Amino acid sequence: MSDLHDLLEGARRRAPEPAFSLENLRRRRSRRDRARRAEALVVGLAVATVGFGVTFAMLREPGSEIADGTHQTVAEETLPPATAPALVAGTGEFYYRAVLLASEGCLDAPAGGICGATGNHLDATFWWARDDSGRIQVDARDGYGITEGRFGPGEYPNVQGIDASDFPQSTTELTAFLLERSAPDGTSPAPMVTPPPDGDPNDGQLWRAIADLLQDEHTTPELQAALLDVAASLTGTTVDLTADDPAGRRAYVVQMASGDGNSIDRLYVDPATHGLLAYTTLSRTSDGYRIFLVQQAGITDSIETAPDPESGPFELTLLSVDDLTRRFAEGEG
Amino acid sequence: MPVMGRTVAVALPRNQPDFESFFLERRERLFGALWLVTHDRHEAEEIAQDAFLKLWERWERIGGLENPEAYLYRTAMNLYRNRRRRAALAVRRIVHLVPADEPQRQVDDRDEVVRALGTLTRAQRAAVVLIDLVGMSSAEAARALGVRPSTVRVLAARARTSVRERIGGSDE
Repeated sequence: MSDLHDLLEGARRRAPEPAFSLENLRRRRSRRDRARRAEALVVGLAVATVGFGVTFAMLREPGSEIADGTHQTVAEETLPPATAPALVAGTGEFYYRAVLLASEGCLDAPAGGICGATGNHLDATFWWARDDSGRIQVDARDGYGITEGRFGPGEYPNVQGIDASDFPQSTTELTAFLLERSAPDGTSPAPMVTPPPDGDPNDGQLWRAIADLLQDEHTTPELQAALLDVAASLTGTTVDLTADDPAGRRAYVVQMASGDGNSIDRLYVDPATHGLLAYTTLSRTSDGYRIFLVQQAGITDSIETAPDPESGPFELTLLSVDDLTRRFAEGEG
Repeated sequence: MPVMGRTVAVALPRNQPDFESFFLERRERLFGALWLVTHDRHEAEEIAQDAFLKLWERWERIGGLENPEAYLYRTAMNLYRNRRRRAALAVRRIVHLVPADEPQRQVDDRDEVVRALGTLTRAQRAAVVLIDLVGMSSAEAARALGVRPSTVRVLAARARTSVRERIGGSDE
């Protein structure tokens, strides 16, 4: 048999003429846009109706938190509520996350000092089930240690000792839980870090704990959403509701600067589900940076497949490490 | 060099090709590859259109990538893996909303390579087309198909052996 490429190329040329043109594509796009607008209108009306009902009920109830004046004032800059539920994996299903990680130079970040050689990167995919089984697939890495393989129940690497079922979901309870957990004598002590301007030392400790947890595959989408809500409530954070993540997806950004102002941390949040899209740290005094990008997230029923791209909680992106670092530098430059 | 203190925004690269040219230049190639992978003209057309549409909607960002064509194929393969799409097409075919794929059958009869590809599994066809026709590395094909690079290599190797046996000869 001659060169297979030539044979396949010959076979491809035998394909019939495709029966779609740019005009077909325009019509398809127009139909899709109309469907999306209609869907957004329905969701908006539903959210408004539920919001009105909840407010009305709380105002009518004499003992409610708003009525008796003891409820904490909501900060002016905080995350708007999620509009879609976080994904929950059932029995036999796996949380799926494909991530890119790239770093360069040294950082004195609010989440603690880190230093990496030039061009460190990781391109990996994680499948994790609640019984601690799953799979870690590494497509590319340089300078990052990670255990690759398939894992039976209870065998999945759990460096941070996270048991998602332990974590409370309410912001107040979760804050207290994280403080206790990340204290020097807690289950997972967070290194002492410089607090943000006007912030309590606890805020720096909490930010570090949250940043670490958000990058761990044991942190379910539900827990991610709760953690990001806590992050947005910390003193010293700011929230930008009109941003794009490093892959260009619409995002809310929760930002915290280190106390000495040398670097800045940003958590990029999916506006709909409050899932983590990306986490970046930038040095203000050098070229140092670190990017953690979630390319795709979702749920699968097998460790051999990726989720349906249309069913994910947010838009799939398929950047290479080179694409990511180049776009990041262009966007910041 | 990064400038601190403002939110990441993606800059529009210079010399970005326009989407229409990109579409016209790649339409037949993508459709042809998908036709070989799916062995189904209608499924190939559906996937190709949706893949182009996804790129068009994000063209400001994707057009500036080093290799937007690779992104196109990866998007198409993600769509190909969508089992709901196949199920919907099958249902439409059962109720005769989509005609049977006669043109492909006629070609199948004439082209031994197409016929040989038809004996492979969907995964084997996808692997051999992505690697041996499109020119992806096994790592790129693995990402596009949601499997390990070693799995893609095995799938492609089996596909080559099977095609070789069918058409008689050697591809070495």
